[in-house]
Amino acid sequence: MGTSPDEIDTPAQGSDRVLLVSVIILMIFGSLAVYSSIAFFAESNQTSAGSLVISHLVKLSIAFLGMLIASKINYHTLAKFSRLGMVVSWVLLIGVFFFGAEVFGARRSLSIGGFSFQPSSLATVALLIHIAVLVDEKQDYIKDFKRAFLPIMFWVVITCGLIGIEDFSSAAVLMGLSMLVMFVGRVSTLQLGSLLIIGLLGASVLIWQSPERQSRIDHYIDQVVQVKSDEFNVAEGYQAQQAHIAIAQGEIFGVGIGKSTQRDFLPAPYNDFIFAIIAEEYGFVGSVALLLLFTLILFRGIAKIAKNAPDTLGMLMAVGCTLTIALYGFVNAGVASGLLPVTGLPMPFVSYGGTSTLFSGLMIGILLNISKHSSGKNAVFYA
Amino acid sequence: MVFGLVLLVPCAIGMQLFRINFIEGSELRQLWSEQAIDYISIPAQRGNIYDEDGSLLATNSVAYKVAIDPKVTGLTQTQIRQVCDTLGKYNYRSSGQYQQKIRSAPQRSRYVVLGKNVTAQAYEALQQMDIRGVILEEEYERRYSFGSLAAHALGFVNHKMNGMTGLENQYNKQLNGEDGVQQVRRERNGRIYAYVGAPRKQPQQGHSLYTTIDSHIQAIVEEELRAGIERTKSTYGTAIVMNPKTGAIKAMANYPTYNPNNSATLNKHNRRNFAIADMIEPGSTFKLVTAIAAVEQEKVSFDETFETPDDGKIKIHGQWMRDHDPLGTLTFPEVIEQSSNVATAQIAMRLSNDTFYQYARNMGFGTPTNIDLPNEETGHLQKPFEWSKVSLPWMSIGYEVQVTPLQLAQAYSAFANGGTMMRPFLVDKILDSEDNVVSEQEPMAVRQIAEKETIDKLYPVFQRVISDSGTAAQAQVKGLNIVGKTGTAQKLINGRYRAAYRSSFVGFFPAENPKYVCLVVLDDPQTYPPYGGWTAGPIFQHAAKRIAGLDNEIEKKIIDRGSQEDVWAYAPDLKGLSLKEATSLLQKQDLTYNTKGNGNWISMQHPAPGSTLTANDAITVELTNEFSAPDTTELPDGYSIIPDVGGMSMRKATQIITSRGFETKMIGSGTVYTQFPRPGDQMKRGRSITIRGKSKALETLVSK
Repeated sequence: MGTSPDEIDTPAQGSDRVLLVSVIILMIFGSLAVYSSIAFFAESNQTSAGSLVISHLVKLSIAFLGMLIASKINYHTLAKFSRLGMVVSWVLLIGVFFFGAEVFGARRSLSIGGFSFQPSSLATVALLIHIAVLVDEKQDYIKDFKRAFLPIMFWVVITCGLIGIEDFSSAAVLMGLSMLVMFVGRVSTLQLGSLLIIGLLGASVLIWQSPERQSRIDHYIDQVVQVKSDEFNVAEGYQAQQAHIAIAQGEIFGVGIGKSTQRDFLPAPYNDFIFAIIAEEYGFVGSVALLLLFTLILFRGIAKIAKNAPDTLGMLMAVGCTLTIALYGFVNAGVASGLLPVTGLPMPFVSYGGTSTLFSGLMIGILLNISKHSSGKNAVFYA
Repeated sequence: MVFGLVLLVPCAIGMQLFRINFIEGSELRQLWSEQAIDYISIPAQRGNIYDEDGSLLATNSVAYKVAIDPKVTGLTQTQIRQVCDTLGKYNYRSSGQYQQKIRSAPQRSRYVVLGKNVTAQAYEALQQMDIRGVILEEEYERRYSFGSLAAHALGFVNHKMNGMTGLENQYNKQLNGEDGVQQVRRERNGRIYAYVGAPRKQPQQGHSLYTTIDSHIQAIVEEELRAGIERTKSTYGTAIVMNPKTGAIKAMANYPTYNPNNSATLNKHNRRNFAIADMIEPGSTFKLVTAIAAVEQEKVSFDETFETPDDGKIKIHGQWMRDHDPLGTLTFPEVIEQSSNVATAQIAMRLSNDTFYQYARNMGFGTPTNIDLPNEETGHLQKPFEWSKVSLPWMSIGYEVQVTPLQLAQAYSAFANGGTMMRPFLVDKILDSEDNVVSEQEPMAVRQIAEKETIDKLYPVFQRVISDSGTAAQAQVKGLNIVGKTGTAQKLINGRYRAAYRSSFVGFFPAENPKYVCLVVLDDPQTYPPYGGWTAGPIFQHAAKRIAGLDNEIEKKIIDRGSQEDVWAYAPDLKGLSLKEATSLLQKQDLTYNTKGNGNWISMQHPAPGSTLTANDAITVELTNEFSAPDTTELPDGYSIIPDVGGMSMRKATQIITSRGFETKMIGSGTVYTQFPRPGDQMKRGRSITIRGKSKALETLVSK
């Protein structure tokens, strides 16, 4: 197959510098926090914190490389492979049930050639690109329930379902992301809204039926959102309270780099609760700065790149990638600060972990590529 | 719109952060300090206990304990072998034995003790290796330098280093000091670790006690008491040596005794300090009260005579009182000398009940002596309104009254001290860890028990007890004037007096300037006659002779008075010496000797070491060609057996002591007549043995 002119990326202008710098700052923040908090994990895995940090840096480099490569590939080319990406994702997700490694009671990753790989990260990117492609294709009859809504939802429901079996929170976030992209892509608000209401009703029924779920909600309200500070939480709410304590320890300027003490009390402080560690070590100032970085990425991605995208496909892909990065960041921070129930979602570029970092890098790469193509003739921007 | 909606999320998080930090912050930080801050105590060192000369009687030693957690992650078989090799290298067990310990431990054990008391080298080496899973602990133990020496006075501690009896208990607070505190960080799994700049309160180390105990006298008294109890087959006995001028206790011994180092030997009966905890009817030693009261109240004159019946017994208000033998006509001094119950009762009945009670009370009976020891008994002295008609005569000879041995010693101390009764005490001063004096015990006069005149008049009377015609002929030491009294009381068992006795002797010397009061009480001696003079008297005599030997001033007087023909010696221990060494030793002491057999080494000798020799006796030594070294197989590492150097020249003794790895402390010159600690005991090399020398031809007292 020869090289068609379409596959050679011919950018009209340079990529978005602000986005690139934001990502690099996030990576630096993350590396320091991971180094500080991974010692205990290293000890239980019979290795040293230093070697784990080096492996983290290697993963960041791979992600950075992936980002550069992705920024060189024309997003239209990528879009052509979206259906293939979906199929591969499904196969891998099913593969996880049979060959996945069990971590904390859930099968989420596959071991491929010695590397641990989480198919849900791939599925997230693939689904968002595929939605962008489908919405773009069906723009002419986008409000049609049968011809637009249902075919798109087919991909969304199956993907989220496959992910949700092992990882409910990722699936829920992906569901939300998908609906946001569809909303931006002018899919009928009525249809999306109905789906949302049906979903909420279903959830209420599930909660109402099980006293155990009710009590979990009660605990969530009492001990997580309310910030319980008069006595120790024992089982439920332990993690959230420890995160609160970490944040409170940080006060304004933090206890200092590498001086966290709450890393001993928090589970997975290098991953799920890395935001709490950063809040402890860098204080209110540091944690707000981190939030601002994600807000900046959100702003650049939506208000600049998506808005200036040359076509609807680019605009939708930019919205999907931006929202994924930003929402993952916010959800992680929200969990640590006790606004959201405890989930195991990583903070992009900050948390320790390979697959999510790699696909976050790829998404930034796609964003950078779209930013290069931005021209005077803007696509219709709905967001 | 989507952008705006999503933007709400970071704003909400920011507000939550603000709330956590500034509204709930202080409470959450309080929670943090509860879970992440802990305090560990820095134990204070328990103070030492010293004797009068500053010899260490009780101190702490550290025991290094090594355990291993064989299941810890990251611990390799190679490392386990390294640990065992290190232990094997510095300890008497082999590496294989340590490995066997790990193998034979229960499958799931995560705490396998490898050694409870490993050497310091092994401990330090393991510390340097810093292998995960190796658990190193330092445990402090109380060590009593001389084992059972003064065990009852010192007491012992429990596993928490708290004094249970004796001085350890009485001065527990001062000895313990105050533990310090250090703030540490605590991890979630409970592991704690120190951090730089952590606040800490230094421990206040325990104070040390300087006691009045003289280890030499204590050792002498213990040896003699033990020998006497074994000889008389008594069930138990106690002995006290006290300085009458100050009340300082020089020695306090009980037998059977116990070793406070080894809690396994702690037998409740043996732990009892009978000197203060036993209430006994004293018998004739109590006649001191009658004598003092009668003489001071002028109810008796020295030339007055008393008729005692031919059968030696009289009936007082329907109760028979008898003398040990019919004694005929006696003057007052003879009444005391012969210890006539009948005559003493007659004298006592000239006194009013109240007067007699007052004297007994003044002499300390019925009230505690307030010695600085726990669990002191008060004794029992009935008040006159409780008395029956026969109480006075029976009390005058030491019945119907219960006293502790210490009360008796205190009363005779007052007698020895011109009538001034001193409070007995054991701790002279208390020093803190920097040797600053915390408190010092000044001798404390309790009261004057009688006029000095009365006391002075009675010395010659009580001195007659220790003469050839007195009841304590066996307590005589040639050349030494001793004042004292025997006592033999029938034991009251289930309300009836039986043919079982408590025999005692209490005396002080020298009579001209009393320095030592010594009391010996034996329970139920089996030899006949069971009289105090026959059973307790010889113990006193042996002890007094040796105590006098320690005191240059007293010994000089003995020599001045003693005649040449009385000079005698103990046979020195020659076993294990070369013929050359032995002959030079014998020649130096002017002892004649015969040899038997051939060879260069002494294998046997006759008489045995320690036997008495007159000037005409010769020592026979058997010779052998094989040198037999003392049996050292059972010795722990770094220990040697203390050699018996009694009778040797100071130079020779020093050589032998040095060859066993000890240091020598010399007092005086000439030949060795006493040594401390006792020969035959084990002691750590490098510690010192005190030897005292006297020029030959003086009475040679061998510590045996």
